[in-house]
Amino acid sequence: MSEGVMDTTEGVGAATGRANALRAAAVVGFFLLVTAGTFAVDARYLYFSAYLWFGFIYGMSLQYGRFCMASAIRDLFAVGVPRMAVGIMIAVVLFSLVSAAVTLTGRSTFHPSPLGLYSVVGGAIFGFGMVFTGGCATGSLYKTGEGSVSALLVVLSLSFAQALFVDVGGLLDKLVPAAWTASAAAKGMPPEVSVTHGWYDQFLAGYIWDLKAVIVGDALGFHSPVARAFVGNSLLNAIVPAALLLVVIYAVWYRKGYLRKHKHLPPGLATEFAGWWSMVTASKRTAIAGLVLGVAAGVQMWVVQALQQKFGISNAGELLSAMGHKEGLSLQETVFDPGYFYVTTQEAQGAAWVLHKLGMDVTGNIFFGLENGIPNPLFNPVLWMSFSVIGGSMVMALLNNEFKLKFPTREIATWAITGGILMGLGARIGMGCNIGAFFATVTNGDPSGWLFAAGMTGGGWLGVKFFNWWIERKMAREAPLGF
Amino acid sequence: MDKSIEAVAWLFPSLRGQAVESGLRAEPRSVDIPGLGSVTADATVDLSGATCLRTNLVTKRVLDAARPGTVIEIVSDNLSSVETIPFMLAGHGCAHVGTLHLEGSWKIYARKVEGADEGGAAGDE
Repeated sequence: MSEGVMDTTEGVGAATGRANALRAAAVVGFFLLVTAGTFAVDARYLYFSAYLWFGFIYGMSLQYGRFCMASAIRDLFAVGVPRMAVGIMIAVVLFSLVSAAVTLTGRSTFHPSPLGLYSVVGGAIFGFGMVFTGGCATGSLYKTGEGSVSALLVVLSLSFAQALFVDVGGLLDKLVPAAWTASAAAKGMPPEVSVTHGWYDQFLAGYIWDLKAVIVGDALGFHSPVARAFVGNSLLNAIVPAALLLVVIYAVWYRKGYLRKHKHLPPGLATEFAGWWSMVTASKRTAIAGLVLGVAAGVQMWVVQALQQKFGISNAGELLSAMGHKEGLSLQETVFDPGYFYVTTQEAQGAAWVLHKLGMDVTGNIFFGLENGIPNPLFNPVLWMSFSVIGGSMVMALLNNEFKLKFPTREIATWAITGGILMGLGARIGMGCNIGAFFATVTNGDPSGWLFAAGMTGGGWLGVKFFNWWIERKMAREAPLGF
Repeated sequence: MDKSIEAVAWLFPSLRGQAVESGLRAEPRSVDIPGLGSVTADATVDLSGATCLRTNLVTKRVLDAARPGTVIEIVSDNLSSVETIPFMLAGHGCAHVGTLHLEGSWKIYARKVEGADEGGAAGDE
């Protein structure tokens, strides 16, 4: 790439710039008003606002860096560009270091996922769908903020697919192994939860709950909390794998081009390192976004835990109950409240709430009925975070004159909905998406995230192959491209 | 055609045997890029409204098909692609001339290099 390759000449008029700045100010003003207004009503809304403003930071960073895990996989396999994969690894390293520091303070809100093949399967379905939609779960949120109606369709289809999938039985029940049903029945669940009916209930209670979760720092038996957090969780589970992946990406997709361009450099380790570093810093925009995301995601855990201590709670459900918002709480009087950057589950709650209001009973299952609840979206702090990811992205896009309301063609809308449904199914089977099942796990000492990433990469690769065939098929019907 | 197949075909136009335009127009014209001066774009590929994957894949094919010396104008409103395409160019024997940000879209100008050594990694400085 030549010097100054990323230089963009601005051809947007000053009037547009001023109008967009005003619109951005209006969005920020709205969020400030929500924060101040709710705080004036009840100081405990501070807990909600913490989620909101971290979501806002994520949205701004994601949009600024065009940060999307679908891009990472797609750009590598489709066009051989590693910029996004590099950005994600930078974010992983940073988040893991901040998480380790937060763990040492005793304010980590992280809970590991069970280790099992389900992560690979869920990741593969999610990754395949993600290529169809053109955005991962967070990518679709921030692209919605840029004005993409197609991304909004992805968010909606992903949300409703999850809400329906966790409740569906019928024919799917016939696919449940007998061992899952027996194991689920033995768990002694409350009668309100039909644990032996519904595929997902039996998947959770009969399979997932029987698996063991692992935290690398604990599993390796480090006695020192510092070694446990920084060596076990951060270095061994995040930094070393991320560095190895960066070496592989450099060797396969970057090295040849770099050495061709720098024939004058003597062969050796110094040149190879210079090439690797050149790859890491090639897209400053993406690298900066990765850095901000990594640090903010770690700090959010600390802030949410600090607020939980301040309000004497361990879950937002207790807060909602105390504030009189008891509708939609789970049987355990809890709601989904991870305490860190997460998407998909809160969106599934939102969709389930809509279905519930339309008369559908979606609470007779473990996912909503026993664990996460379906609170009113206005009183769902984690959903506030999703809304503010959209808002933060919108502000950044407006400030850079990059906001554009875009309606999809029929074909793109179909891909968005189809891919969104697959992403929803994958997220539920994989117990999270690219954020909850990968980004937040590998950075907190939980190796299950790498299994999800492996599946997501495999599914993404397959999706790219399919799309390549699709595009070739379509272009073959046109005039030859020679010119 | 069976009704259920018709419904699928309605959703996916190319299944009906219809070609979908790549948006390529090979009509040379002079364009003025502020700060860079006048450039003759030999062909324009308009990918407005397309997803990032389609934008990147069509761009890749257009870059590969271009003759040395030609300047290609790639029009896109997909930010992810606008960010990625300049990094793709070296891997397809092209140099980045510049990117112009207009209201609602971007125009990326790429020149196919004479005697370009194609293939290999897209990675470059």
